[in-house]
Amino acid sequence: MDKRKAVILSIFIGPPIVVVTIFFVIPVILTVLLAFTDMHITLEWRFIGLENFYKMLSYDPRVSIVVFNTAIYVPAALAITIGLGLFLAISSIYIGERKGIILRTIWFLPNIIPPVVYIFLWRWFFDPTRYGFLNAVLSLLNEDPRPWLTEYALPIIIVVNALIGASVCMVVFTSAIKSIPRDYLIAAQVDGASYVQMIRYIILPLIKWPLMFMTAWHIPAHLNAYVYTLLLTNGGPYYRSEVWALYSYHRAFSNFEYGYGAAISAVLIILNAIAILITWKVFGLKRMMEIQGGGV
Amino acid sequence: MNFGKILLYIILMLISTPIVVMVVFLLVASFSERLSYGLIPTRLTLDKWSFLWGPIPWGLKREYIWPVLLNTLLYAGGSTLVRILLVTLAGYAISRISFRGRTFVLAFQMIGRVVPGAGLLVGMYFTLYYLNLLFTIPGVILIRTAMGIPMALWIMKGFFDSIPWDLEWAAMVDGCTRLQLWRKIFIPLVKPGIAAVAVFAFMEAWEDFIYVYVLLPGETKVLSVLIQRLIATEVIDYPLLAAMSLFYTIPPLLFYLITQKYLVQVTLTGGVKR
Amino acid sequence: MNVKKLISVKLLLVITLASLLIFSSITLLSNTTSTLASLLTAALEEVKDAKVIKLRAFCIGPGPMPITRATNLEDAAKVLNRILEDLGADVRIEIEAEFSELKWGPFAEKFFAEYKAGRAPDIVIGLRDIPVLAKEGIIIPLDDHVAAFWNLTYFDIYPSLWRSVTWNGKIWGIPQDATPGCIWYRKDILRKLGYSDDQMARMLPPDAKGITLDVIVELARKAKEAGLVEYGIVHRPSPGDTIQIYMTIFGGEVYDEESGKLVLVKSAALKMFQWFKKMVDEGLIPKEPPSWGTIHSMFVEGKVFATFASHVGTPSEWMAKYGLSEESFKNDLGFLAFPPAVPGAKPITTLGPLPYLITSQCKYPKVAELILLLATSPEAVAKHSIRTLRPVTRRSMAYHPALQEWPYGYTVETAKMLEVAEPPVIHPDWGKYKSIVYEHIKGVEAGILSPEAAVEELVKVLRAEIGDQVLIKD
Repeated sequence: MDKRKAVILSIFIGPPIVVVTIFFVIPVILTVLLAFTDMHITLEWRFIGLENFYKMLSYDPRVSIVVFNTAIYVPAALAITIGLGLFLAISSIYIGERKGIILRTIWFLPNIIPPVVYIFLWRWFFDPTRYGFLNAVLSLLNEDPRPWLTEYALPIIIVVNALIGASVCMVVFTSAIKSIPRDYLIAAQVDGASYVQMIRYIILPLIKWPLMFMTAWHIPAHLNAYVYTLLLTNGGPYYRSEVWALYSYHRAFSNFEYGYGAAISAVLIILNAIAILITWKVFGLKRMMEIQGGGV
Repeated sequence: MNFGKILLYIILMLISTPIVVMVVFLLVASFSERLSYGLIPTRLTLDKWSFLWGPIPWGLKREYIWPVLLNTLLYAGGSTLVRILLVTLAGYAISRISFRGRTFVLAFQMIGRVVPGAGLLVGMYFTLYYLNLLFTIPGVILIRTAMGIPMALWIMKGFFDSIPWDLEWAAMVDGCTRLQLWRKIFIPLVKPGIAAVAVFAFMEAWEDFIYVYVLLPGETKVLSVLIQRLIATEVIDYPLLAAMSLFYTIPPLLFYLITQKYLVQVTLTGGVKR
Repeated sequence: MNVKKLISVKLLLVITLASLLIFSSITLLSNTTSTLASLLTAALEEVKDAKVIKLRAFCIGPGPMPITRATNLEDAAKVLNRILEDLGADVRIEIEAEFSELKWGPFAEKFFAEYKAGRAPDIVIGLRDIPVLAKEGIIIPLDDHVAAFWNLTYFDIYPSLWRSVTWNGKIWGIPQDATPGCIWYRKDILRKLGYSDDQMARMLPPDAKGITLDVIVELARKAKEAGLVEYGIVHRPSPGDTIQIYMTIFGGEVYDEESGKLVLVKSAALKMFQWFKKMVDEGLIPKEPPSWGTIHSMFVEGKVFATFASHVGTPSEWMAKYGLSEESFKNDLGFLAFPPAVPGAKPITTLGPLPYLITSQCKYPKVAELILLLATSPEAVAKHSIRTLRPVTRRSMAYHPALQEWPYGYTVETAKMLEVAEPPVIHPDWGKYKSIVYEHIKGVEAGILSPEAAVEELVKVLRAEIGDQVLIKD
């Protein structure tokens, strides 16, 4: 690589690499190291080897239901996140500029409402007394109030979490679709393509990159997600909505056992890495990285 | 208006209803005195909004919300600018300059995603600690930026990719330097990408609570901390929470609406070949 | 919208990079200069007496009510300064009391983050795990100080509170506050059912002696049947120290002093689960715990007969935020300790204490101790109780001028509960124990587990999570 290129590269790429390496990658390494300590609230580094892992592997009757929940939660949430996000993005462009903005603004709201308030609103919606919104509507129809969060815990938290992801996807996909040259779509229309065909053959292939990336991004996001579930159902009732991330939070972080928590998170670390790698493989990352036109 | 379109509208309205209902409730709640049963708004009053013209109506009534808003704006704005800058530079390079390890650089960014949030906080604390950047504002901004760069970078690369090569060749033939090329030609063309990145950057910094709280000294004066304080006890003033939450969501919303203007479709003319 | 044209991008670039650079260099520089500055000051201090001694304190709420924790420290400094002035001494004390309304968790994280970086405050109130703090050398023992001033002032604080700050034979903090849990019930509903005030006083004595839980249940039942209430009883929607109460009133225990381990008594747990199931089946306790807001509101508005979810000081928050009027508080609400549910058990309430602690990073421990002495004076205690309606921590407050009016005299009344309150359970796994038991209660209420199955599962999970730190007894 010639000197000029090197200089240019370091200006362009240098700062982000340095920043990310120091402030994002090193903490990850530290976290892995943490798994071999018994650090707790006092932040003392005390290495204890594999003890955390032994403790984690002792028989815990909750593990099977947690794994089961997670296995349902992640694919479902991912499907809603990507699917709904795409649906909203396409629809909002289809229904015209003004209405599109309204739609996108409504769906952007879950993202900017603070998590506690967001959850508070969902609780209001699903409150088990007759004064919760859903139950109030039911009582207008002369039905009894139902304890929604007890009976439908897992589906509800899937939806609550996935909506945030869908909101994010909507923003990204909208930007991506809007940068597709109009000529393509006009040409297709002239050729007599239906909207569905246009979506399938023009839009989707041209937004393959953001699609791939959003998937690769949201799989770990949903695997690691616990805040909303923690606030809404706390994994209840009786672990019916406890996913692995929340389980490791309960087992360790709520007690400030950082070392132990890091060890339990190790499972997630591995799963996350595998998921990301598989996504790249499926979408053909290597091919997408080829520079068309050869590059300089 | 064909059947398909009607169906679409119906579906959209149905799924959007919960959100709309909840926001309307939030609005009404912010104008009520109390929530009966914790769920039903009662008497209408402007009291809860009094922080707009007076001190925040809680505790000893000594604080004002506007300095806090300013702080939060500075923090969010600063983070956004830094991130956009770094990422538009790097995104261009990864998209256009061929060098060994391009894929690796991009993939490398995702390492931070593999660790769930709670554990990462401790790692970040120690990173800042050993670098002597603990409890400083630049430290927190760097952390926030580092956490947001991966996604932003991936997004930007996608947008840079979609610009046809011919423009580049033409410009270089005309004697443009890389930097000029980047600034005058590419940036305007990837505005939608920048818009998306800006929105996320602003939002992440805006709702950041735990990093800003633990990694800065004293009781940090940003809006997210203010909201947390409202819910700290079990005995919560819901209408005040509603009012402050609405206040809290307005700047990001405005920011979002402004960036929507940048989502104008980008038209390209002349010999476009892929 | 072409703002971009106004500020050239290059300029923006330069400015941002420059400011980043400047920021970082200022930081690095300021770190160095502040180290230099503090070295200088330290040296100067050795040369002459410090004129102004600055102390920092972290005080927790949670929430805005207990701000007197912080203001009492400030007032204590004022008193101390007055004494110094009268003495003609050249020293003054300045206290910077930071009051945080955040919850226990973030507060603790914040404290430890600062402690680890060497910037811990001198005084802290909001940490409850004394054994860990003492063992790690984060706080200092105060025996000398307490002994020196015992007859002057410290004798007056309730013994149960002193027990809560004693560990390993030493005293580690000065008790500041207590929130004994209790049952609140609505007298107005009982009146509607036809009971006179006298009858109420006999049926539901505040110390809960001589009665059982069935009394409450029976009354709740009657209220519900008469259609006067939505629910008979509500309890906390999250794990809390009431777990200790439940286990105890059903004949069990949660902590074994001798071995220092947690305990699960299966028979007591079984009875407890069966009771919860019965209550839900009868519709007296909701199947799914509603949110905090709903629970408080419903009780304040009279739609619930009794609440297990509050402590003695909660009315102050009800009045501040839920529209409880002083009238209503005086006439319609009654409280009592938790009565036993099975014969042989005794009435119980939990203490919920919170002490002032002095950290080992404090440079003027003696000064801090004097501040604490003054911050727990009768006047300070009165101020705190007036603001939060929590019981006074001293035994001899009955004649204090500030507490003569209602509702302040109430805080003297409730202080009697402190005599019989159970000390808090101090064990590193206590938090997990509470969560697990609570989760199982929710499972029984939701109908997912039968009481018997709940006990079995509870044993398994406790074993897995807490291992040998919990003793399982039948």
